[in-house]
Amino acid sequence: MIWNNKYYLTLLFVLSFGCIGNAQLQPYYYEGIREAKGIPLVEQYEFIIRGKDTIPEGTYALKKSVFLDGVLNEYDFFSVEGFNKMGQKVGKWRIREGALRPAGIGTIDQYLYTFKVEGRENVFKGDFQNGVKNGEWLVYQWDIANSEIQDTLLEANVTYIQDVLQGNTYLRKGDIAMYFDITSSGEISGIWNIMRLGEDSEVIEEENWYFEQGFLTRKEYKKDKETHVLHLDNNFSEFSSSEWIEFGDDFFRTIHLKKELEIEFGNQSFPSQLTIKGVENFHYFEDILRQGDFVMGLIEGIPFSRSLKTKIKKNIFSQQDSLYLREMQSLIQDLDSSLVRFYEDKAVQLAKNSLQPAQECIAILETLRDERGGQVDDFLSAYSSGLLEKLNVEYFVRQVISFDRTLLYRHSEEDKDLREYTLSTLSELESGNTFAQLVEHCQHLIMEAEILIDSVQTIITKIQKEESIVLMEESLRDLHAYWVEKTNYLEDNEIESIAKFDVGEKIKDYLDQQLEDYFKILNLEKRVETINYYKDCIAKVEPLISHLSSLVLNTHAIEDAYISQVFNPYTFTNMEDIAKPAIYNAYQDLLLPSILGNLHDLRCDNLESTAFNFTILFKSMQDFLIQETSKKERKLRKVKEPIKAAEILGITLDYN
Amino acid sequence: MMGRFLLMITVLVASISLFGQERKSEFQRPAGTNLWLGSYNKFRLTENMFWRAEFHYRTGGYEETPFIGRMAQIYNRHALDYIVSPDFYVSLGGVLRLDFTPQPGNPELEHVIYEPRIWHEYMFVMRWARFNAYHRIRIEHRWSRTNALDSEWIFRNRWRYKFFMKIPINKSYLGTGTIFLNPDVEILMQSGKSVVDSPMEDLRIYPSVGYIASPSVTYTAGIMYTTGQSLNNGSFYRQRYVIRLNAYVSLDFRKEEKKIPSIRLSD
Repeated sequence: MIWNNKYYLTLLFVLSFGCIGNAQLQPYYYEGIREAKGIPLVEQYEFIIRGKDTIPEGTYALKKSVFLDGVLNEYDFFSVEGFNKMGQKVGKWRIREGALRPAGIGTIDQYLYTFKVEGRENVFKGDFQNGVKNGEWLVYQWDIANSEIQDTLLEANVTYIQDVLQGNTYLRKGDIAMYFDITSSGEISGIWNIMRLGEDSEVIEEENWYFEQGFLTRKEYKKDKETHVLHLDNNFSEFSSSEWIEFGDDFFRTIHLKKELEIEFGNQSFPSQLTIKGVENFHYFEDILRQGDFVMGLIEGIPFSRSLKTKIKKNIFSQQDSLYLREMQSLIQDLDSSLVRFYEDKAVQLAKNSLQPAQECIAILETLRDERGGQVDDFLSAYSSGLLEKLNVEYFVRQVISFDRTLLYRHSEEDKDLREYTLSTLSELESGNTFAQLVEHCQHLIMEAEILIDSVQTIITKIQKEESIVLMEESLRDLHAYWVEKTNYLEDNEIESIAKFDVGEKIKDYLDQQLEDYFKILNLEKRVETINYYKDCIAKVEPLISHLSSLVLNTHAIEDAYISQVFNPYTFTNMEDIAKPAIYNAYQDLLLPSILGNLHDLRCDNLESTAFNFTILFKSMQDFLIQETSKKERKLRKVKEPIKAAEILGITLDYN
Repeated sequence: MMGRFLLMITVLVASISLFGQERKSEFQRPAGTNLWLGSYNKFRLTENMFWRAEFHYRTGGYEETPFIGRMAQIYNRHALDYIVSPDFYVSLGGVLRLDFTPQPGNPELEHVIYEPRIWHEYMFVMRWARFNAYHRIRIEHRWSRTNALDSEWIFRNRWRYKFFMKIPINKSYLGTGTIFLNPDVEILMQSGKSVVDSPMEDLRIYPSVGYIASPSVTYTAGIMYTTGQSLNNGSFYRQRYVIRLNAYVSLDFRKEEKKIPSIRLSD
C-alpha cells in the first residue's frame, strides 16, 4: 500500500507540475512577414513564452506572401509545413515549391478569373527529430500540367542520421536509377549501382562502381547478360601516394580520364555511354539537394546536402620530371609564338582565304596545333591544375604522342613540289623517360609545324611567282594586243603598193610568233626568266611600226624632192623630172624594196636593224640631193644588186 | 571652135574649086626636096611666161643633089609665150628669115635676103585620155622681097591653121621616155596686094615620130609633104618633100628654189 501511496503521490506530483506547467506554457499564435534572403515570406507558428523567451511550439508554416514578387511570380507557390516542439523541429516536415505559370485562358469563379497552372514542382518531405533531419527523406520533382502531376521527373530517397546524409540512397531521373550507400564519414564505400530502365522499369543495362577503402577500383558494365570489367588505378608506379578528393567535378573528370586512358592503353574494353549519364544524373541529384539546402537555409540555416569524398591515387613527380614539364611548356610557347608570327603574315592570311593548297596546308597545321598540340596543352593544363598527379601519366603521354599522321602524309603525296617529310612514330622516340618522350614529341611537333609553315611559304612563294607571272603574262598579252592593234594602221593600200605586200600582216605574224614561242614554254621558272625577253621582242616593233607608218609620207617626201613636175611647153603637159635619176632609181628599185624585203624574215635580233634601215635610207636620200654624186650616179647605172648599190652609195644597210 | 574651123576649111576648099574653074592646075614636077633642121627652145621666165627661140637651118635640093644641094634659109623666130590657161596660150614675137639665093652663083640674084615678120599665135589644147590634140592659129605679118636685085618689098599676111596630135606609143601618157606619133596638118593662107590668085600658100602634111628624152628635151623626126600655090601663078602648085629633124628644148630660167621642193621626211 505504501508502494501504492508512493505511486499515487508521485503521479499526483507529476500531474500537479504538469498542470502548473501547462498553466504557465499557454500557446500563442504568431503570424507575420519574415524576410529571408531578401524574400518576404509569411510565417505562421505557434509558440509559448517561457520567461522572456519565445519558444516555437506547435505547428509551423512558412508560405508565400501576397507581397512576394521578383523571385517568385504570381503563380509560383512556396510552403514549408512542420511541427515544433520546445523550439525544435520534430515529426514530418514537408517543403513544396513550384515554378508555375498559367495555362489556358482561365475560368471565372466567383467573379474572379482562375487559371490552371503548368510547370514544375519540387517536394521535399521527411522527419525531423530533436530539431535535426533524422530518417528517410523523399524528394520529388513533378511535371505539372493542367494543375495536376503529369510526370515524375525526379525521385530520390535519401537517409539522414542526425542531420547527416548517409546510408542507402536511391535516385531516379527519367530512365536512370542509382543505388548507392554513403558512409557516416562521407567517404564513399561499397557498390554504387547505376541502371538504365525500360518503360516497365526493367533493367536494360547497368553499371556497378566498386569503391574499396575510398578508392574507385573497378567498374562493371552489364548488358544482355554480358559483363565488362574495368580495373582502375592498378598501374600506378610504386612511388604513387593517395589523397582524398571531393566526390564532385574533379573526381569525375579524373575518373573519366582514367577510364579513357585505361580503355585506350590498358587493353580493357568498356562501354562508356552509361557512365557519362550516371555522372550527369548524380550532378542533377546534387543540384536538387542543394536546392533543398537553400530552402531549408531560409528557415534555419541548416545545411541539407552532404559533402562526399573518395580516395584517389596520386603520382609523385621527380625534380627531373618537373624540368621536363617546364621544357615542354617552353617548347609549346615557342611553337605558339612561331605560329602567331606565321598567322600574322599578311600573305599567309591572304593565302588562307584564297589558295587551295595553302588552305589545306594551313588546315593541317591548325589540326596539328589544335588537336595534337591541344593534347599537350591538356597534359600541361592537367599538370598545372594538379590533375596530372592523379592520372596514369604513362597512359596520358601515350595518348598525347600517338596521333594520326596520315593527314600529313596524304598532303605531302599530293603535291610533289612540297617538301617531302615523314613523321616519327612513337617507337622512333629515343628517350626512355616518359616525360622525355613528351619533350621529344613537342620537338617533333615544332619540327612538323616548321615543315608545314615552310610548305605554306613555299606554296605562297610559288603562287606569288605564278601570280606575278600571270600578271606579267597579262601584260605580255596586252602588249601583244596593243601592237597588233597598231599594225592595223599599216593596213593601207598605199603602203601595200609601195611594199608590194601587206607589211602589217608580216609584223602581226612576227608578234604572234613571239607570243606562241613564249607560251610553248611549259616550265614556270623558264617563263619567269624569259618573259621580259619576249616583252622586249614585242616592244621592239615600235620603231619599225613607226617607220612603216610614215613610209608613205617619207617615200612621198623623197619623191617630191627627187621628182618635180615640169611643164613641157611643147606637149603642154606636166611631166615628172627626176633629179639624180640613177640614185632615185636605185632607191626606188633596189634599196627600198630590199629593206622592205627584210620584213619577210622578222626576228627579235634583226628588228631594230630593220627599222634602222629605213632611217638610214631616207636620211641618205636626203643627203644625196644636196651632195655631189655624179660619180656615184655613173657607177649606179648598171647596178642591179641592192647590196652593191648600197655599197656604191656608201649606205650601211643591214640585211641580216 | 571646131565649128568655125570646119567652116574655114569649107571656104578654103570652095575657093580652090572656084580658081580651078578658071585655069588648069599644074603641080610641080618633080617635087622639091628640103632638109629642115630645127631647134625649138622655150625658156621659162615666169610662172606663165616663156621666151621662145626657134632656129631652122634649111637646105634644099639643087641640081643633082636632093635635100641638101644648097643653103635655103636660116630661120630665126622669137616670141614671148603667155600661158593664159592650162589649155591655151598666146604668143607674140618677130621673125627674121634669111633667104639664100635659089641659084647659087647667079650674079643677078642676091645671095641672101632678109625677111622680117611679126607674128602672133593662139594655141588651143584638147586633152584626151590617151593623147593630146592641138589647134594652132598663127598669123604672120611679113615683109619680103625676092632675091632679084632691086626687087621690091611686098607685104603679106599669112593665116595659118595647124592641127596636130601627140599620141604616145610606148606609154599611156606623155612623159619622159615616151615615143609618140605626131600627125600634123597645117594650112597656110596668105593675103596682101601681091596675092592675086594664090591665097593658099601652103598645105603641109607632116607626120613625125617623137621621143621625149626628158621633160626638157624632145626629139622628132618626120617627112613633110607640102604643096601650095605659087605667088605669081595661082594654078601652079609647088610640091616639096621635107625631111625634118627637130629638137625641142625647154629650160627653166626661174630661180632654183622655186623649182625643187626641199625634203621633209616625216620623222
